[in-house]
Amino acid sequence: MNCRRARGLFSEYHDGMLKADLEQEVGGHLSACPACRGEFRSFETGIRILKKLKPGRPRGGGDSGTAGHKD
Amino acid sequence: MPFSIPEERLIASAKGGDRQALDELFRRERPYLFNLLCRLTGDAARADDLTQEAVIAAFRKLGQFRSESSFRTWLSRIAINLFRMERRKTPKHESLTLETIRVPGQEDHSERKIIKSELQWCIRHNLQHHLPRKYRIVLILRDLQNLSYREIAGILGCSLSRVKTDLHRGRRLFRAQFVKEKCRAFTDDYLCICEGIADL
Repeated sequence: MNCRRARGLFSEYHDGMLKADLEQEVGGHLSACPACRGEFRSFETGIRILKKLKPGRPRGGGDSGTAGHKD
Repeated sequence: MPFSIPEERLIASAKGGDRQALDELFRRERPYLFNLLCRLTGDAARADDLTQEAVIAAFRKLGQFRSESSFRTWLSRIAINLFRMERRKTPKHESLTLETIRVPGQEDHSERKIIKSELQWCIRHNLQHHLPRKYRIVLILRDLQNLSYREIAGILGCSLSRVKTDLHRGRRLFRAQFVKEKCRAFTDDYLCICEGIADL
């Protein structure tokens, strides 16, 4: 697997959505390629940043708020 | 009405005209809808309005709900369609500089709280102004609402491969913007405005 192909699969690899053989190929490439490893780390950092976004609060903070709901 | 009543029973009762069941159904789902719309619009007031519109639309269409997807998925589809149709102008874009980041009551906060507020501002800013709407929707559904690829495809009425492609492109674009802004999370060579944003 080349770098271009591996990088195109980062998103699905991160989500565990690849078939076992393809997942193994990407993993193999990442372990052998420091550049792609760095790219993948950076790719995952972007996702971690996004996940830090907190929900907003409704006007007046009434019961249409977020209490009691995990999403 | 007790929370333990299963959703299917509530739906059946609501379809039969039970007002209490209907109220309970929407009471349970309203916070989820609001969160979703708040993330999509980046604006609590707009999210509040759209939530109300979505609830009204869902109320009118309840008879059409066939339980082919979960009630929440069906509601999300209605909400996202409303969001897509919304013609209101998005807020004016401002460059990402320390001066433009408005932290409410900044003087009352510790440095750490300010940094956290700045991070929230940066995320919202990049979502709203640097990501095309179609990528914003799929990123929010996957990374913030934690929906599966299949659920997202169901909500958006598109193929799984479309979801995969848009998610990948959206995540790359979102990250690219932080890199462009020299966020310290991605490089040690520059000082990011959020000072490394911590806890990554």
